[in-house]
Amino acid sequence: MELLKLENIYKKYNQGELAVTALKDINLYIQKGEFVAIMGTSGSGKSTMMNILGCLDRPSEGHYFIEGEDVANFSENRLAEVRNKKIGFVFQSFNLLPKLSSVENVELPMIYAGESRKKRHKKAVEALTKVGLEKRINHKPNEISGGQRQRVAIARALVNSPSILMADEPTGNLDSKSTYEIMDIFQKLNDEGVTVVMVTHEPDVAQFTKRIVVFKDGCIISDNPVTNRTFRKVGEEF
Amino acid sequence: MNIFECLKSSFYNVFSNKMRTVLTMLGIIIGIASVIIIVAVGNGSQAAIEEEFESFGTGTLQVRLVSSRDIETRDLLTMDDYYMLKDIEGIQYISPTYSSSNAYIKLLDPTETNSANITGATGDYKYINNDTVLYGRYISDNDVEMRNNVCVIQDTTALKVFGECSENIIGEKVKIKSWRGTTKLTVVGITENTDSSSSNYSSEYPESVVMPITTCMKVFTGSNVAGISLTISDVSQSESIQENILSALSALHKNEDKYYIMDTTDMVESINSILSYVTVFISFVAAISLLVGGIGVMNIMMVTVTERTREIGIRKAIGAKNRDIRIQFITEAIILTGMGGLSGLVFGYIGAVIVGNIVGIAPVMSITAILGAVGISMLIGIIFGVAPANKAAMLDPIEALRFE
Repeated sequence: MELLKLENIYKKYNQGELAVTALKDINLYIQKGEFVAIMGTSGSGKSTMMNILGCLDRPSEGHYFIEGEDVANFSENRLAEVRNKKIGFVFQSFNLLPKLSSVENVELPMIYAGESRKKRHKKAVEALTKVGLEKRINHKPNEISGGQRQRVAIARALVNSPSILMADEPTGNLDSKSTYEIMDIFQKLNDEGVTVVMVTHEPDVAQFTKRIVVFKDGCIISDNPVTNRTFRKVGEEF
Repeated sequence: MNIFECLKSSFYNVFSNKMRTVLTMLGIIIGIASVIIIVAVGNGSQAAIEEEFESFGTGTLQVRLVSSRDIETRDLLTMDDYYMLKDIEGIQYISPTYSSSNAYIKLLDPTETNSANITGATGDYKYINNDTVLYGRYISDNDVEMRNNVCVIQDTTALKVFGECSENIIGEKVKIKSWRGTTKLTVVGITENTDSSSSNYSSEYPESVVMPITTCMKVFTGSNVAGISLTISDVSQSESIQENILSALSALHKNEDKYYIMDTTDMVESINSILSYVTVFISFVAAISLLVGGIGVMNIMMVTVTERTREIGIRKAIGAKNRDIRIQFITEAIILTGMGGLSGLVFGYIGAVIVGNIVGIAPVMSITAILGAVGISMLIGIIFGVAPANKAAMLDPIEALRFE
């Protein structure tokens, strides 16, 4: 069974008289363990796709199955649960809460999952250790670098052991060295079995993935496995 | 999200913006503080008034002449009226009274005098006035009959006139100066001054001197009494007895509608009702202040929600339900108003003590008022926190995440 299965997905917006169709009849299957890049120019529908994949939005038509469960018509509350338990988000602008320390930021999803204090802290420290930030757990976001912030965000996305990691332009605000580090982390996580879906408009970044899906005008125009995949090379600058 | 996490997060947010928090709470603080002051001072004055009347004797009726121009000599109350009313059924104690504060009493230092409140009465007045005799005896009906030059003074007066308050004073004489000249009265008893207000220890407070009504008439007033005080054994009979008294007086004096009966219970009630009107009115003003404070809280919560739109988006993206967001913002509003209420309570208590000192009333704090104040302030938090919290909860996560 596919991890994610999208069938005949449409997304329409009504802006006054003008009806805009952002997604047209999308069919997409993502298996467990895949590392997919979603590409496209701005306005191509890739962000809309990301919002639907991440359960932040619901399609106007069609079915979206996560692990066999059709979430297309879920209530807001149930979608919140899906986001909490099955999806981990990594954003372009990190989206950490500025007043909370790294570890508190990572604990946040577990608070909404109702985990106990002790367990939360333990798991948050583990997740931060995994992304190499065990020495920064009590730093606030403005006390660490952009790359480190994104690593905190990845730790936060991973901490509830989601079925899928959604990354929306995760390297968009980072310099090339940090970009390299972040992609390295994604590759390692993927090697460990984490399914990753990443929106990007940079072809170089997309080369780190295993499969590239290209959107244009709300349709998928190409869907190909990556040849000449870029791999982590220790010490090499990106 | 459990309550503890919610409280922790809310306290953190409220305290991370101290200046704004304090300014927002100010409306609630002022509102709650004024409610506390009003209630405490109001209760205090009510208690003081009740005590005042209790020492006078609640349930006491006073027969008086109506004050109008066409009063003739035959209408004036006399001892004959007293003797007649004495026999009316249902009256427990009865005493004709005459009071004057236009007199002076010589103090220990012969060059000094103090104003005196002269009361002429009979033996029953002891019960009507709830007097407790400490030394000697009260004036008796025999004194009244014999027009004895005797009097009963209070323990505080004894201290000022004789420098001591003991058995030794009995038989001593006090000098009373009035427009009729100086009169010497033998002290036959000392009563307890039960007036608890502190002012009666100051020199300006008139000394109370009770003497036989006949002596009083002989020395000061002539043949008339100012009024007749009485108590009724069965209060439920009060109305019919009052009617009997008035008709008996009219029959004796051959006049109509010249007398009225003042019921101290009614007076306490009417004063209390005036007081409660005042309290209601001021409470209304305080309620407006609370309303304004609540709107202030709502306003600032709206601003907070807008400021934290992105945070709300993040929280929703990682799994916060609408309910979680709503509860968080309502909790913050409740913390704001609750802390405002508690501070208001403290300031209100201090204010009540200060106001009480100025007007000479001991403020009475009631648990109901305290719990009510805190409860109301929290309720305000809920009422005025709902709208901002709903606004936050209903935010679209995608829009919220895009918010700069």
